[in-house]
Amino acid sequence: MKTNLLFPYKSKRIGLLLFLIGVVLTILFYNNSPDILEINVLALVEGKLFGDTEYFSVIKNNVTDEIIGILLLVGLVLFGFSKEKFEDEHINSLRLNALIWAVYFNFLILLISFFTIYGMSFFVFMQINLFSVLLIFILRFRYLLWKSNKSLLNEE
Amino acid sequence: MKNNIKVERAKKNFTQADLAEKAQVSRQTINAMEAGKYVPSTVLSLKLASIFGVEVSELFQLDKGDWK
Repeated sequence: MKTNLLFPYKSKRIGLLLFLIGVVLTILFYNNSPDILEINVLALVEGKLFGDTEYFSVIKNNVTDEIIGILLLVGLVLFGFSKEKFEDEHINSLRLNALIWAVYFNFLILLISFFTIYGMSFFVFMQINLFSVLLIFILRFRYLLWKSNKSLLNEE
Repeated sequence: MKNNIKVERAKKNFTQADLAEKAQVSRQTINAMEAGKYVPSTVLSLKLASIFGVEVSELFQLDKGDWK
């Protein structure tokens, strides 16, 4: 794995911060978006709930959810894909392993959701599914690192 | 694949940390290799052989499981 695909170690902290801000904002504004963020945006595609899909139109939209989405996404990507303090080939192989595992696991959950979650709840689940691969990858990678660190304590 | 890293390490009285520093890898990598959990890259195996002053083939041996 080419390590120039990864962000520098310092970005990890920034990523975590962005993600946490995103989480806090989600909790704060989940069902009440601040009116100040109701602005005009350029919608390349607007699939209206009732009506035809419009293309290349300027519409009024509350961008709270967009901003939160960006914070969560950028935060998770930065945190998940920045280098460890000390990068070497073993960590690279752990990272690759965790990535594949996370994709499998995410698709497994997705599969199960197809026949267990319905209606609006499915839509909510889809929103979570946008970020779940990254989250699962981060958790799995941290776990593999922890396991490898733990085995160090058993040796001299 | 079998490896004699631990043996060679003991001969030279290196700790895992010593060896890790000389080979420019983390101690986790040395530990994982000795436990047979990680197969090093060619470059790393050549580095280890050079550190111990032995041939790569003295440090690592194929076993039956490698020939699938």
